[in-house]
Amino acid sequence: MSTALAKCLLALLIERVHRFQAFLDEVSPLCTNSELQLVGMYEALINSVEVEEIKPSAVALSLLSQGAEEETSQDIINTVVPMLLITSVELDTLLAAADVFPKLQPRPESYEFVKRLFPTNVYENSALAVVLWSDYNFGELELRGYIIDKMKETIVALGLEAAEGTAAERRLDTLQVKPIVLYLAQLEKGNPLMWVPLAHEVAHSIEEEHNISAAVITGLISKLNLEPEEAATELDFLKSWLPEFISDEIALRVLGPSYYCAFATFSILEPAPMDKPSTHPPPWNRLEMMKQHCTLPRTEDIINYFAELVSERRQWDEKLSGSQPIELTIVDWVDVYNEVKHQVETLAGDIDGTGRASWETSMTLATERLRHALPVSSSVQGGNEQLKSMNALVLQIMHKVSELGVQTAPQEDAVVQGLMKRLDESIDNYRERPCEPSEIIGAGWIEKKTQLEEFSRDFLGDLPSFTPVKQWEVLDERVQQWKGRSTLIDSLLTKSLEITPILRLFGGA
Amino acid sequence: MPLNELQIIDRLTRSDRKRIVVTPIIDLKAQLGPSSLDVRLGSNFRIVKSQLYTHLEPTKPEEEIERAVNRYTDMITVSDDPLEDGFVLHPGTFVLASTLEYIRLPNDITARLEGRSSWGRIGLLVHTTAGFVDQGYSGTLTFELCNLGSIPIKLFVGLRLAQICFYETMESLHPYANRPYAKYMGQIGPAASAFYKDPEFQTLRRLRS
Repeated sequence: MSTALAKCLLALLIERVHRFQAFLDEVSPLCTNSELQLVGMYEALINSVEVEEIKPSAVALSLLSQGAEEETSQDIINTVVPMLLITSVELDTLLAAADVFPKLQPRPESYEFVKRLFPTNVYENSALAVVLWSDYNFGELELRGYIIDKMKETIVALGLEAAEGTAAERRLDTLQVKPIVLYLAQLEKGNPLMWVPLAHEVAHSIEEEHNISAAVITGLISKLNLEPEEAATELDFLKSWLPEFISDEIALRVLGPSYYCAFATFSILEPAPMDKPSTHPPPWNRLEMMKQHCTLPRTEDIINYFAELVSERRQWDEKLSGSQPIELTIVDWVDVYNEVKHQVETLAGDIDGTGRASWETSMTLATERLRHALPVSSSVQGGNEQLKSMNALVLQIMHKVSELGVQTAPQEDAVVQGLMKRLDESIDNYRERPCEPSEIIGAGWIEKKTQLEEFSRDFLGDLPSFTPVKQWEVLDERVQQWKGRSTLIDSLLTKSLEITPILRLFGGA
Repeated sequence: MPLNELQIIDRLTRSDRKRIVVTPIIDLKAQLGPSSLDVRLGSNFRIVKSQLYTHLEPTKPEEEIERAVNRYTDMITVSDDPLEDGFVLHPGTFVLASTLEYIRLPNDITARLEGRSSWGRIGLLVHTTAGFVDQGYSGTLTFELCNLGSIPIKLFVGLRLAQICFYETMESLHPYANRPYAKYMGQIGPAASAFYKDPEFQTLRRLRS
């Protein structure tokens, strides 16, 4: 399993380097001349990460495919995995420092993605915005604090707020709408597969509005017959983590396995907080809860694929940090998960996104369209059967016309006219159903998993059979191919999200 | 000879490699003509900020000219909300846009992008010169929009702006997808010109360096 983690990390890091390069390409036309010098420096740094860390790791890993001795393999794994983990941290550090560059705008399709996931009532009296952020700190911007910080003097001058006073006195009463401002990592601007955490952030506002955390605590005390004093300490620290579990559960309900896949991918790449004082629960617990609750048919394959990789990453993190999993003493994690699920189920009306979507559709879209490099914006009602039946009618007409030895469908031939009438009806009834964003993203994750498996199988397999010089050439070519596949899937998913609202508008759906 | 409507439906509904893909087809009945298929306007426009440059110097290094091309054009996205404003194309203005539809041609079909009469009558050109699509091409088609009329034209996303005619040929030995300089393969929006990537410019750069 270790090689699988190393190969997956390698694939994800090549992609991240590619996204970094794309970010620099996009931002550079906006840069001043002095900022362009910084861009050049960044390009050099990114290039050195690729040449000095990622590619040597790839060559080392390829030796494993040669059937090296188990002991040697383990040595390589012991060298390669920590190296890749360090590379990931290095890239993150670079990214955090890239804040100096001009700000890019999020793609409009990311709004389509977020808005369509939840019913419209979630956004009533609210203003939704997505802002790009320098690092991978997905989150919800506390707009009020941000405004006050940026516009303190103006706000005081306008008399909207006193310079001093209690928090209650410092309310911005003029703000009539509820702002939902979401962070999106700027490297993921063009990667719809990683827009998925935005759903979790919207879920936070739903969770807060309905006060679900308190309901979970009350439910736990009641179901486990706990004395509040007895459970105080444990429930107290759990309380700060519950919003995360609840928002995960909501996001899982609206997005299905895609949310699990995105979160798992993030957890494979990012170092995880492992201790109790952290603001967020350990990802292992969150993923465990999601795995237990993701019970849609035919999802085990994709969930298990990512679950195994995450489990491996967890072992490495524990090994490197010396930390141990967090144990609860009074309540059990399963009780917490079940109560979260129970309370989130009471929100069904507010989060019926999955009611409109289908994992089956995602699977069909992935195999019949995305695999063949086509957008996944819609599915033909009646599917391939509808297309086959139309094609059969056309062929019958063409055959009959050919038999009659004429150029066009003759008006006087009853058979041809009958067939034409049926074809016209088929044309009248031809409809394409716009896919839901969760179906589109689901198809994307299914294809991504297939690509990662192909990478794991084919990317390094025959590398050791080449001479060292040739190895480097082959590696260069394959890295470019892998980057190309990543760009293609980004483009097709983005195009799909662009198309669907227009299809809905003009298609009458 | 262009394919007629029967041949177009045949190609659109086949399950083999001779299939023409046009996706999405929002309203087949409205879009299908006797020998053409209407296509719609996508939401992205690329406009030129001509005040920034005197000209583009194609013999500069490729990265430099690519940066300049990106710098002198801006991508604008028009909302799909019909209650919001569309894109106003003023007389004499030239912008790039693209089809809403993603298109894939088999190796034995070429296509031509043509204007629609209704738009032509108010002076809208949908392409200025490059309306031909090679066998094997995949991606959106680019509109080179120009308003030759005397009044501004307001455009909305999803409008049927043009039509494609398909022509059957012998199967190409070198379809667009396999060409070494397939600069626009797989594009999903109005990509800026990549004329400087032509091999002739590489030769010129080499000679001048």
